[in-house]
Amino acid sequence: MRRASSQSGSVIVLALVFVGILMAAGGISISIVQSRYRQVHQNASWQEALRSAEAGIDIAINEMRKGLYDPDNAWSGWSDAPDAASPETAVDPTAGAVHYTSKVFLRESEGGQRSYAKITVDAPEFLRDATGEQWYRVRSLGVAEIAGGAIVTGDKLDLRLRKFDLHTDRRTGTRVFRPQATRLVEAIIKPVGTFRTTLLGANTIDLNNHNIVVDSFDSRDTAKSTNGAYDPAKRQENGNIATNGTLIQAGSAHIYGSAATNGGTVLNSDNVTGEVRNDFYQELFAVNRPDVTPDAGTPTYISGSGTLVAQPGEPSQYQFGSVHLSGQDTLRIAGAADGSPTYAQVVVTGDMSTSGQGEILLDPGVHLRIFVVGNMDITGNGIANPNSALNLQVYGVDRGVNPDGSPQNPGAIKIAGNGGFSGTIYAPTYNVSMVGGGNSDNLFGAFVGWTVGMSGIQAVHYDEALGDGGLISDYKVVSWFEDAR
Amino acid sequence: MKTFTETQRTGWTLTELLVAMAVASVMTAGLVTGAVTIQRSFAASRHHVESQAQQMRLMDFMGLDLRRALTVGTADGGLQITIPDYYDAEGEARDPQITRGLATYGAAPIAISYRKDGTTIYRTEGTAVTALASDVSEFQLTFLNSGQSIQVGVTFLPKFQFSGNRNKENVRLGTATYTNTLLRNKRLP
Repeated sequence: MRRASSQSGSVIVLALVFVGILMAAGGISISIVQSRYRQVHQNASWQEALRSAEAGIDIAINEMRKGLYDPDNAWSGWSDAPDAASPETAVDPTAGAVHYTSKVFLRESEGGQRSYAKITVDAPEFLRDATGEQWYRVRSLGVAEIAGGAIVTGDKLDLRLRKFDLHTDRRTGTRVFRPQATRLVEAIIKPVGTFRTTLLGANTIDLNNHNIVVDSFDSRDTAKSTNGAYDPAKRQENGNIATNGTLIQAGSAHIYGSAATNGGTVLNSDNVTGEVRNDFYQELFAVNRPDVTPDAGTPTYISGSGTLVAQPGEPSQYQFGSVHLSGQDTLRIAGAADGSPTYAQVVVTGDMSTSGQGEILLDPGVHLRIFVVGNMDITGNGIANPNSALNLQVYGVDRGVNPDGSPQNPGAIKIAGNGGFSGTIYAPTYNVSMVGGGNSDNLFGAFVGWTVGMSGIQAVHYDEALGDGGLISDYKVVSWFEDAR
Repeated sequence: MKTFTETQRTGWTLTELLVAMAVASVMTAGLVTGAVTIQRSFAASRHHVESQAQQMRLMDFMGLDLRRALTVGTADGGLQITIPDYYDAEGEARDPQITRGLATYGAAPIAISYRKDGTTIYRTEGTAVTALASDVSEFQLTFLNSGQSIQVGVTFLPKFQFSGNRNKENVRLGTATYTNTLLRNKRLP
């Protein structure tokens, strides 16, 4: 019979010790890896929250744009109360803050967390600029839920930067159902005028004389103008020309600014001082004929001298079948004796022209809007506007467009003669032409047409203030700040 | 029945002892070497992970400030930023104002800078200085200012490298992280 050895028991002990050590090492490793993995998830959610907040700002700007192009549906689904159970359909941010919570975006990977934006828009009185335009404040809170439980990870400095609401919403103090990362962005949105470029052709721009000059000044800045007027010594290089089409014939004209097409070509661009780009597009909305009730005593047409009276506040309204001035005819738009702002609106249902010594004369302080349904031919002394180019706004009423976007029956607006011109023309269904003479004619303003052409010797001086005034065609972010509390 | 009588020999021969000691020495040497290697590997991996964490922290801090920057400069290998004075003395958000056609907050912008000093990278906001990353003597910050956007790069040298590698910069490239930030709030001069 064999006796058992007294040395056999130590093997299992050693094995258990080694297994214990290995399990401890494995546990520590898993713990570290899990912590880092959780931190990666939390960081990803923190980044996702910013994307959601910025998406919320885009949603708000989209509603503002609807106010321009689709006003019946603007702010639909928004509410005048945060977290409203039943959104209203007709809210107005100028009457008080309005709120909207975006749809939830579910990311299929990365833990499948959800993200969304809670948006608040208001238009306080202190955000009304010097021209009376209302700016908007958008506060967008991006929320991204965090996968991996309510466990703190990262160093103190990381947590100081990336703040998470694991149990309680730090902004409201309310309990959260799921851990979340939130980021709040405040953006200030400013309306943008239609006249952001000096020449804008929906289809083409054609400059056929190398003596043509297009440059800019800023009537609001003494370093860029003298007493608010153009000064060649203070010339600026924002006299930009652009087309939604594919062709600009720059004609070696002196363009102190950039030239941009929509994926096309700028020919003879040797004297363009700025960029030549091919990524331009600007939405051009149709101008509808205003529903005007003429003031009492308004004649049905004008074919000789006369006076129209502009008034403070609401504009005086005039409607004529046609306006033709020739010889010594002068149509005066009379304003206030002290030159304070007055307003008038004229609708011409037919053609409009000046020739010879015939002219339209604006008094100081007068703001005149002309809506032309027919054609317009301004020659001779033309329209004398002693005010800013913004004070004279000419609109070519929409003539309908074909499926390809071209006008069905384009109108014509022509400016020629020696009277110069200071004003803006917005006529995306018209062919706009400016015809210079042998001497340099100075035009001040901005011009939008289906086609825009210049010939002869002319200079167009663009007042950069035009981009901030006149008809609003868009909105843009002018201040962006993340509230990192 | 045949009986078997056990011998009473309980010791080992000298040869057995020497062989056992030799084997034990080799095993112990292997274990120690392995443990040291694992420990060094663990330390290097930890350094790498911590460096990456500091890298991400720097990126995210700078990204946050750059997105709200009014002005951006990159002099002396550092980053100089101004941001709106958004918070009042109580730390509450101010209302914006329109000043000369611009949306502004408070009286004057707040200056923020990032700089590396020795083994530490600091963020300074006004007069408050914060050490954002420490033990980062091998960190390098690079900035490529393109006007309306800026590329920020952060690289470091990992501790673990192949012994035959003579070009450390190639290893540094392997750690490079770059972000391009659109300067959303930058004001034109």
